[in-house]
Amino acid sequence: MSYPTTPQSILVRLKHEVHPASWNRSWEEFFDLYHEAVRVSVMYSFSKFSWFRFNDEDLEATVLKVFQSFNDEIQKGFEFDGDRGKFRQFLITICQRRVSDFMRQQKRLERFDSLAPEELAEATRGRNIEIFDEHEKEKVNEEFAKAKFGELLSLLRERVAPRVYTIFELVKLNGGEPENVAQQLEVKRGVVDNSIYKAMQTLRAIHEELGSKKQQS
Amino acid sequence: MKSKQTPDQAILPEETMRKIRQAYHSLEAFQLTDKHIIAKAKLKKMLSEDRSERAKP
Repeated sequence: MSYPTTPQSILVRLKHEVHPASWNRSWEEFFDLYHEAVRVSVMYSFSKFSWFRFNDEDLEATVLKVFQSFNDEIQKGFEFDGDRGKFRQFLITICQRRVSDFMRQQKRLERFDSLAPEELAEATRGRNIEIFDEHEKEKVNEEFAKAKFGELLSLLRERVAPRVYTIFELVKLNGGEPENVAQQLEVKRGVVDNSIYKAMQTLRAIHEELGSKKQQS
Repeated sequence: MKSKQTPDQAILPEETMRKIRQAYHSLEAFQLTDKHIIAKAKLKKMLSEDRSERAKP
């Protein structure tokens, strides 16, 4: 199965947006899109490092640390470089490092026995997504793919008129009948058809842009 | 034999649309969970504290 590359727009916005309100909106959008993907990556990282005694609280706290770390990276001037690897690999590396930190901290507190520090270092050194088994890798990739398709929709929402997006959402995402949608919105059937056509054309253009970025990197 | 395609499918393959629909519903469902809403609020507080800390002389 092929996966789209991470659209750069949200990363670019996080890097370059200067207005605090706009930046916060982009950050919330980023969190909405990537929360589940990061959560799954952190969960599998715990089990891959043979740390099975984490509870929901530990999991959630570590997930937040991942986002906090990523935020720190942005504040320090993080620039996504597609030539150096995929964005999901970068984020997975942060997940694995924060899980390592958590385990080291627990070990210092002597709460649990776990891997020795050198084993932890080995576990996180350059192995990235390969640390997961095939099933886990597939699941992690699926979650990141959802985030990326979600951003594709977010880009569509930015590029078309609100009514066009609403019609697209009702018909193409929620499976509404065009005729019914026209009646509900009290518009002519032709408006619905044109809106869908416009939205689909724009979606294809965004999809192609992302595809060409993939080829470049 | 010519394959039957609707005008929409000619613009974007149905398989791609299926993945987009799946992502849309899945993300929307997750974003409504307490798990997500609480984490979002906690993260907002954490980052706000970080900002205050950084702003200190």
